[in-house]
Amino acid sequence: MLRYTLHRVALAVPTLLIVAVIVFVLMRAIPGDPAQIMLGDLENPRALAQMRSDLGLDRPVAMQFVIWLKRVFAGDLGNSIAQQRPVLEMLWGAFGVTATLVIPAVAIASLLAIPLGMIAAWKQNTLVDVTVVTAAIVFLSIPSFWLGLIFLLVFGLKLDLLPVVGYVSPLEDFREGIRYLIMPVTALALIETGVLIRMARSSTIEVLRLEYITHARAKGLTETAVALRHALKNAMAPTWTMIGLALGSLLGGAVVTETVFTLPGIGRLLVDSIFARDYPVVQGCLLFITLIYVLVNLAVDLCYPLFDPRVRL
Amino acid sequence: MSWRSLWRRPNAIVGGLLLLVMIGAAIVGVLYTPYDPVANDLATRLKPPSPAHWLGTDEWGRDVLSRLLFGAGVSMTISSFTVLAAVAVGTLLGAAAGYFGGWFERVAMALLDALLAFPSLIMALGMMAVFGPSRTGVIAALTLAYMPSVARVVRGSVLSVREKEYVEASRVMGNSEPFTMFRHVLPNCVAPIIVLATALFGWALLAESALSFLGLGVPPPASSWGGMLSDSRNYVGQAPWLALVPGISISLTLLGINLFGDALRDQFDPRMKNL
Amino acid sequence: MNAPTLSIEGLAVAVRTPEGGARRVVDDVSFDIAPGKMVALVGESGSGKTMIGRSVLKLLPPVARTEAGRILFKGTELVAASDAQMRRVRGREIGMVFQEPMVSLNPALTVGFQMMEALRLHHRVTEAEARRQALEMLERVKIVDPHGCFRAYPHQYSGGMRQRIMLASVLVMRPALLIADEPTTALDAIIQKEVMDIMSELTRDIGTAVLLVSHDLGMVASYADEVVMLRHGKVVEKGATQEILLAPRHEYTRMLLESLPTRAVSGGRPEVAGDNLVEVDKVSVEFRKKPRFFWQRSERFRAVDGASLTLRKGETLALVGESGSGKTTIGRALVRLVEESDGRIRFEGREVTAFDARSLAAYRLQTQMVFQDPFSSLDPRMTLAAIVAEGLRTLPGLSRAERDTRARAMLAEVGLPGDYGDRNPHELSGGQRQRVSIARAIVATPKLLVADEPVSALDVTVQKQILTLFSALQAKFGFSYLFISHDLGVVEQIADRVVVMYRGHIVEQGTRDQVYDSPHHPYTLRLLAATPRIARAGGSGYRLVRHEAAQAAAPQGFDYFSGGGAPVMHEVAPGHIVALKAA
Repeated sequence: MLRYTLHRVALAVPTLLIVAVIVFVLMRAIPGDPAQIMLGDLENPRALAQMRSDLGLDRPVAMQFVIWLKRVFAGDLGNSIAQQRPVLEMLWGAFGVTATLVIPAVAIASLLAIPLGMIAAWKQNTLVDVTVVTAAIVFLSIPSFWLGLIFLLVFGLKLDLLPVVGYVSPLEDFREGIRYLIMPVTALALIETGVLIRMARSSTIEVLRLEYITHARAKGLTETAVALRHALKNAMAPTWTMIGLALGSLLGGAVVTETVFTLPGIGRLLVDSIFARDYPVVQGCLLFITLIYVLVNLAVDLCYPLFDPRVRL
Repeated sequence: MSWRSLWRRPNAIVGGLLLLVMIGAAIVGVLYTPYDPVANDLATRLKPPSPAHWLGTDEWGRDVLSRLLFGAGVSMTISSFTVLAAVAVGTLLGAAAGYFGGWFERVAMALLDALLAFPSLIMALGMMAVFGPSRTGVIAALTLAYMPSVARVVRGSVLSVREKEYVEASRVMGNSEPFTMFRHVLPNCVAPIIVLATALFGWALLAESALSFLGLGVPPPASSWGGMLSDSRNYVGQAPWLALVPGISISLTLLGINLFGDALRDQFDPRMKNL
Repeated sequence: MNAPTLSIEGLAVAVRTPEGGARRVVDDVSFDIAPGKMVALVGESGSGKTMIGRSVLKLLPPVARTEAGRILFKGTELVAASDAQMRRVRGREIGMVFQEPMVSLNPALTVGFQMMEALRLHHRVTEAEARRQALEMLERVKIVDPHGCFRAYPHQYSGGMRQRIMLASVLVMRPALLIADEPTTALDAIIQKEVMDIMSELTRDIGTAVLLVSHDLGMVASYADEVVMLRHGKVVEKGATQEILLAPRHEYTRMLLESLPTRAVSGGRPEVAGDNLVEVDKVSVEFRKKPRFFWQRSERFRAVDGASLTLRKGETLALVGESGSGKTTIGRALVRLVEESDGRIRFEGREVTAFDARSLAAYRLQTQMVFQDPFSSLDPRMTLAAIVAEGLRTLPGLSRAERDTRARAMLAEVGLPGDYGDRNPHELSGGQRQRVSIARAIVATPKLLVADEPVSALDVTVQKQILTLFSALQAKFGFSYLFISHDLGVVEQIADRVVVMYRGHIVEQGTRDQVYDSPHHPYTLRLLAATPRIARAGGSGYRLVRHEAAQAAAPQGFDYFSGGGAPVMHEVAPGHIVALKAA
């Protein structure tokens, strides 16, 4: 197990490095003087010279990358042009909000989808199965931001049940916080449930075809015992990986949902900074979001042997 | 590959019909719309659906139906180009990686893994930050976001076909590696590519709508469905149809793509069920 | 007279067809199993034998349904039984062992857990008691470390061991009936014998009746008390095994028995004299396993270690061995799918490794291969004529039309004339596909044909046809064959000379008669002992022939080679060589 862990961690490192390179290249691809870009509209020759030397613009590009990388490692992502605050500080705050949006969405989606998917697979081609599959397809075809918009329209404006703007952290005030989060979380969760149902269903169908299921039945086990003890674990393995990927698509979906509900999350921060040409923040968001995604998938991978001991090696 | 029995599947029928309608709308939108989709007519602002304007008008007095049709053309063109580009680049890369192996494969896979480490919308946003809102920018951004998935699938497919005995037989017969690759390996990998391309079309459409919704996609005044949705936000209370119409259109199109794609996948490549 | 443990009366099972109808795969089948007896259901693919086995426990696949008949187990009728009743019977009274040991154990659960499951469910014993019984049974199936096995996962064990674990977990319940569905088909010959011996011994001890489903007549003749012959879902003949062998009544039974490979077909074969076509001189083939981290060294693995053999013009040389023996690797080295890492391969006197591109291309035309799996050796997207014609692609000076004509002619030669050429592989049966494979391999009239387990995936009757085809083609065109197989019966029929391999080394080689009649190496003896043969016994009857040969002692100062280091090759008779090592 230790070897597997080390192997997986070792694989993540080059990925993160290349990600850093991509972000670096992206930022340098923005037309204009890299130093001026980082300062925005500020016209201060001294600050400009300082930025120039900070970025190492007189050195070869590879060296600039290394300099930049060192600073990133040290946590120095520069200062926001718009707010004049360290970028890292802003990222943490914003990510906290996004986390309260995305984590419950993934959790709800998984808890709903896995049992529904398994039941649909168990009763393949019956009415139950067809209903579940149709519902799943319909849900995953709806753009999450549009669903959010509809919720806003119905529950927020027309019925005036829930607030349409703003955010309160449920960690501070649970009841109030929930009121702000119910609609966006539901919008995200509903769509993701559709995606995960299909995954859970198809991997359960795969597993059910396998001979050890027939063998389990041949022992005289009840269908429930066969389902829970034998099928579940094996069907979970690919589904578990999918949950990690679902988080990625939710992070993307959160960008738009945060915009719709004006939540101060990291997605909205990214979009606003792009419009404001606040490039230090843009850079910081890209790095941060990707880092989180890679770490989450790493964690998901490390849990994989729980479901499939063959991987443990 | 039996195309004929595909049409017996209910998925394919419903999905295919929906797609036909939507693509038809797109084609129509490019050629003809009842009103000029970008012309303002401030006298008829925010009118609900009526015989003159079947889907009402928006805040600039523009006919919603016309904008919808035109937007269909815009969105679908962008998605189509994205799919074509992503499939072309991804297939080349994935096939080369799968066939040649060695360090090339390792480097390519490392690069692709890194690209896949970005959630696709985030990658697209990053690129739009550099390009600024434009149609070509959206295509380029989305191609980069989706190309790695294609490459991975193609590589997997090539790896599995490579081991088949008829590929070995080809070598034993004295055929060169390139010949074996093009004559035996690639043609048998087509099925998963087709299935993936269908899914990609849906993803691209959704992503383009999202980008346009955020204002970083297709620039106004051209109408794209995402952009129309974004515009509708300010008037959501007064003119709910402005929010309903584009959203329903996107949903129906995606539904059609998903249904049809499912039928394709069930028919040709049951192995791909995990996508 | 005890009532039979299992009594099947007029059983009919139907399968749903894609068009919506139902097709009977089992039709009016009746037979009994007396307590403690082993009854075998024998038939080729499509005979319905597996469906019968599954219908007893009501474990039919969703597309199948029992349409008619009764299944009486110790007096209780099973077809009409409820799910709850079936669950009480399953595992406790009737146990089942399946064919593929690789997938019949759940990879996500430990062996111990899976073994105790049935015990705790049906017998309501404490966990400690269940453990004790399970461990005891693991010992009886000769698992070396029962305690370790308990905690381990199935994927850590080989196929033969997994089957033994399956047997243990089923028999620990002491069921009245064991259904064994092709339990050893996926295993090597020697392991097959071990598993069957264990199964036979244990069931006799416990008093379990056995329903054995198999296509292997030899194995059935060795272990089963009674036999039920099936064809297309119907019983053609049934009775005591020895009686049926001695006096088969139905013509299908007789045809099956006749199709079994025997020596008699080829008769006494004079030794083929002539030049050596191929010389394999101390060849080793090494493979490197890809390292997981790029800083690790890659592990090396020797599939073939210092093997030497010769193949003469016009003869059939058989390479025999179990999986991992290296026989396939030698074949692949000859057709240049792999390269040898040591030693020399010579073809018509010239060294193959030294070939430049042109000579290699010419060599390729002279040496072709027929593959094992009829279902993956033909490109599914091509027509048969195109597949065969591709073999002529590298022959200079042929137009497309000419290639097509020659291809079709060759297809006719192998028994697929006329418009077969326009069909696609998926329209053909396994045997027909192998014919296409053969046609493709010989269309450019090579000198050497390497056949890698060409009949292993085929039914016995089809197997006979393909072997006959091989012989006919050799007589007509003068091919030399390198015939690779694990099936000693097939090799006995077709080979002039035999080479026995074990773990990459050649342990014995000689003429067919020498190796079969006076084997020296213990491994050869074990292989022969594990291969029961059915031979003619006067008139129209057959009998089971067990291989009995005494182990000849090794010469003074030597032991028989068993791995590790280099063997010393010793000639015990002209042309008959055995591998020894210094004592």
